[in-house]
Amino acid sequence: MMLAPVLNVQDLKVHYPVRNGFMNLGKKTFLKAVDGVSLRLFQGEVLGLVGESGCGKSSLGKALLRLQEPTAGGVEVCGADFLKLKGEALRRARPQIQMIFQDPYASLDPRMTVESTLKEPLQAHGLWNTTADMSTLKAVLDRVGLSGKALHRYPHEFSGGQRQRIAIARALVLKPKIIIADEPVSSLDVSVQAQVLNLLKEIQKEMNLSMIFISHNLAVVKYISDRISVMYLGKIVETASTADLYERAQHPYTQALISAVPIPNPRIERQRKRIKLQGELPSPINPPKGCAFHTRCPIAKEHCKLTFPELKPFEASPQWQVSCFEVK
Amino acid sequence: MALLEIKNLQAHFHTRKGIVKAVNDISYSINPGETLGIVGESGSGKSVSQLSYLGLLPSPPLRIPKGEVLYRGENILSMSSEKLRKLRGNRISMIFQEPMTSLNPYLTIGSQLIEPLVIHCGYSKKAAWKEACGALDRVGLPEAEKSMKVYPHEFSGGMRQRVMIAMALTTQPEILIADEPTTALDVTVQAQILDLLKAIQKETQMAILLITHDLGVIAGTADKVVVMYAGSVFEEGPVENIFEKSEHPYTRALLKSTPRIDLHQEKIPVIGGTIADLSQLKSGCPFYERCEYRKDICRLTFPSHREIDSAHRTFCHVESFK
Repeated sequence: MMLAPVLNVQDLKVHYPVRNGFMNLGKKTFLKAVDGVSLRLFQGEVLGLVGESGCGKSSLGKALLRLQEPTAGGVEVCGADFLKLKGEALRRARPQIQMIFQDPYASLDPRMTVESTLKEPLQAHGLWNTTADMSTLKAVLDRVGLSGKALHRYPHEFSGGQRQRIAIARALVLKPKIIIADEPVSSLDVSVQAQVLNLLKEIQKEMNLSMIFISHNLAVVKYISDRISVMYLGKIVETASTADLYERAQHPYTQALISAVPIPNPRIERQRKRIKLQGELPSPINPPKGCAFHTRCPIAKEHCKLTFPELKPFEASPQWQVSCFEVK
Repeated sequence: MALLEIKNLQAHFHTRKGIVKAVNDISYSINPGETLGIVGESGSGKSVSQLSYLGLLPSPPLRIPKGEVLYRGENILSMSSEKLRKLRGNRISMIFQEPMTSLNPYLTIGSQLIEPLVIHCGYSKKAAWKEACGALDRVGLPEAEKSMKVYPHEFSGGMRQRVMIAMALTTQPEILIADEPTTALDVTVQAQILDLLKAIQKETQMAILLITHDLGVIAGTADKVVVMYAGSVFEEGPVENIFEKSEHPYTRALLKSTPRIDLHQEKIPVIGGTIADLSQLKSGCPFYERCEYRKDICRLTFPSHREIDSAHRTFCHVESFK
């Protein structure tokens, strides 16, 4: 029997209205950042979300927390309809799902000490001095590899890697079930990136957290994820287990994306066959009809330009879904 | 004689908080048709080492206390500013990481492209326009005539970087300094831009100095590699040597700590600690605190170079990594 997912997303849409200029008043256009995404996240699982800039992966992440209100669709968090919640009920549900942002220089308030940064979410949820106290803060700091001395210091006194540890501590302090991590290591140098990645992986295993790990870096996503969804122009084009995706991706976009990631080994890198994509990501304001990828796809046929290929199971596997007519 | 040779270059910033030693006694050289990859993390001095001798950094605070940079045997550091200006943008061109910040948003692509031709090559505006159209064509921008008349914001990141490359190449430079040219781009576009640079190099025999933190990009494009850390060169050698038989603990650790798509990595070995503060550098090796092979001598003196073979040099006291 399959367990119920901790996060169940159905046909989620995030459309941003676009101003047209005064000549087109009355005619509304939308930038469809997320356009019908369904996904499920299970307890203790890491789902990687990859795609190039502008594919909607960050908008999706924000919509899951209602930092950006979705235009349509459903989000169930631990069985409860998260999008219907209001006021006090919403506030009580929020600790379950927390976020880690890309840039710890921007996501930490420079005028708050680490202590007040970590205390704030607890106070907002009425947990300070009831279920949490200073020892809670020290324990969570210790878990992310910082000493209790850090409590009285300000963000500027820390390096990028240490700041990201503080941001992780802030997300953990409410004991969430789900973490949305949006490019959490992208602003860090390679040597520090590995430290933070390992920390996230350890904590996730230890606390049996469910995590959505958003990144454009396919090597980083591979290291941390159990399953991976690939996004292109607001839609998921392929979802598969990490091993399947990197060994035999089915969607032509996934294949091209993986083949374009440089491998740090000159012998391998210079002999690899690369699937070359022509052109660049089309504008999400006016995406191509049919399959959005057909303008760059090396195997596109006439019907790809007309109808949109729904996500279908591949090899009758419940885990593996592909949105392409040419994949049988 | 090498096309460009950097000898014992130092670049320091004199700030109110003290002297930031951004580049400390580095030497390397590059020949025509060669791609030299300079790899390092932020603060390693990989960009500053280039910007400093080209006169692209404000001085003060920049000071170059020591060193020579020889372009065809002539020291760039002792050139008059007029002569340096003629060299820069003409014989030596640069492209930067974020093409939007290097292009002027108020000017059309065309007017920015013809500028170096008029200034450096003495073209008439009409001839420059024609030449610039050809340059856009060569970097794979469709409808060159039309592209000349648009503004930078109308282009995507990849197209802007193509414009930057076209601009850098109009004067047919002998050396192209590419500072993280693909870091702001998506991987599929990155592949296109790197292929383009390689194709142009094959045709013109221009030397490329590729500055990047991405070891994968280095592996695919560089002939020679210089590894920098905290303002010092740690290792220099042919690309295969650096990736397969590195003789420096930092290079080895950096390679191991990089996530890879072609391997299954259960746990990535990390380099502990953080990069040394450039204003607090002591006489020893700046990697000392983080090095797993460190010896007492490493704390006291920075190692002089040790030759592994004629092309491969390392700066490390440790001779065995068992």
